[in-house]
Amino acid sequence: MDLTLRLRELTLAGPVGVASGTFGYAKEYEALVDFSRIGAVYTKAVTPEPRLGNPSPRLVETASGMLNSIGLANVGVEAFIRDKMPFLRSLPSAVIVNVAGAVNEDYEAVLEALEGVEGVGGYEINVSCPNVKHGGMALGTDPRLVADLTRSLRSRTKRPLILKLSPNVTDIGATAEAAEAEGADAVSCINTLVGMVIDIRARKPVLPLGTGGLSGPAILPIAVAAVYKVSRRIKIPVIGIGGITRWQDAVQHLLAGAKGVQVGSGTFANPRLAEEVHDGIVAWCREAGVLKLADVAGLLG
Amino acid sequence: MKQFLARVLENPVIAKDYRELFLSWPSEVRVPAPGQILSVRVNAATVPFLRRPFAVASFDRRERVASIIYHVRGPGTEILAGVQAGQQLDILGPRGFFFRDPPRPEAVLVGGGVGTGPIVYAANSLAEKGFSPLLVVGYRGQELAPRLRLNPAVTLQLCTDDGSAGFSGTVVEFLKTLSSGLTDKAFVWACGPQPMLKAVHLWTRSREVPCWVSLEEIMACGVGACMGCTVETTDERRVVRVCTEGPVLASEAVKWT
Repeated sequence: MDLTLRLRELTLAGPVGVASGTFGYAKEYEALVDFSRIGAVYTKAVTPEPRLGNPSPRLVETASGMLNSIGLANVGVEAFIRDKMPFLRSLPSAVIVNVAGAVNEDYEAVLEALEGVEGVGGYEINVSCPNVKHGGMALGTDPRLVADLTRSLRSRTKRPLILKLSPNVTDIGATAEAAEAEGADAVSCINTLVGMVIDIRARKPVLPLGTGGLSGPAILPIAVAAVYKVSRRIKIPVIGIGGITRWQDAVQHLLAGAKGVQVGSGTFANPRLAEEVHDGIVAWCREAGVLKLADVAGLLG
Repeated sequence: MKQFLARVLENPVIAKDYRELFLSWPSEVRVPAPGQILSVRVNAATVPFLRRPFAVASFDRRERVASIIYHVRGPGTEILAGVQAGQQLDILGPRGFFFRDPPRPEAVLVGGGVGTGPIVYAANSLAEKGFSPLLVVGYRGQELAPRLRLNPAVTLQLCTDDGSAGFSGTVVEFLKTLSSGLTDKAFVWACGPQPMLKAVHLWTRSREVPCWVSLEEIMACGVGACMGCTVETTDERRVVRVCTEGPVLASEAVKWT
């Protein structure tokens, strides 16, 4: 059975990745998981300078999900290369660095700093973080800005570029088309949805910035619909992300048109979720007589 | 830190809305230190979505039994309250920076509410090391004061806000009655609600008593990956993760708000 997904020179050996922001720099999960069944590690977002992130509390649990407002807390690209890459490049999983920033120059600076770094398999461009004032989602909700950024980054690298799409838009397909037209190799779909929880006793939002990003099984149907829509608008692969807590959820993403998946906040409750989803997909494909993972999308009636 | 299944031995009520859950501790898992946390998956469903962190309240080395004390106050702890002896629970742990290296001869340990568990474990551990800890615990009223299993070397001082048992007043009001003869030789370890910890911290500053506190913060991953459980510090670290650099921090390192 062919489970691989090829993006330029990079081959993802397995269909299941661990989503950015939910797996740190992978070392945090070293004692708990078997990386041989994790196709790709999407790192914590990396910005040019270190970021402390947003004020506490940064999390609130919701019905079948959670809101987060981490604010791209990360060590910055220099410390990332020096302190985090040695472990990451030792893994059997592909390492895809999630790149974030406030303006195009930030994304360009991070990507250029990483270009010569061994072990970086590709870049996931975060134009969809709902928890920062500039860049992030503001960038990702305008297809013209996504096109400009993609074009600029494309001219700077031959490594795979994956644009991570925001669901907080009217037409997610338009953003995907903009990325494809300017040379993106894939899109990941979707980032978190903007949400708010209000503390009725204090009469104010629980999160200090008001809103946060909603993830968890609550968003699975939204994510599957987004994958379905986007995969009918573009030819480059769609990587499905959103709401996966069981292998069956991942198969929904694949049937909707995804060529691979990422598990996100589901890992918090179940650190071995990626491996379990990998095994479930393999067993399901075997039973369905699927020889190539890429063929699953064609099975939707 | 490991992920493991632990068999539930008992889950009794120990005060109004408080329970103590006893777990059989697998031989391959390290003995938890006082202050360390266990991240518990209360069921296999997606509601509630996240694990729940609890600090260890006791550890019996001979029987290899650990316990946590919890307040039944939300969907996660309500499910936990229904857990029966013989069931298995999915645990991540033990984890985090713990109470360690007592710097002075006299131990004053302060606990309130759900902070009782780790502070009782710390008191009993110090007693085993030859200390004679003073354990000051505070509750709104007597019905909320759990039955505690204490080493005979521990002196218990109960405080109640409504005066229904023990000292009438808060733990900090009680601490203010301590003689400088004691506090000059004492250190403080504390765990409880944030306003109590802040008041304890301010009192220790006024008496120049070294103080460590164990913080509580909502957690998602519990392994240091998600950056969700951070608190601000006054030192060069500026922000730390409660699950990794904490939960125990020097009280002067915490940026109290």
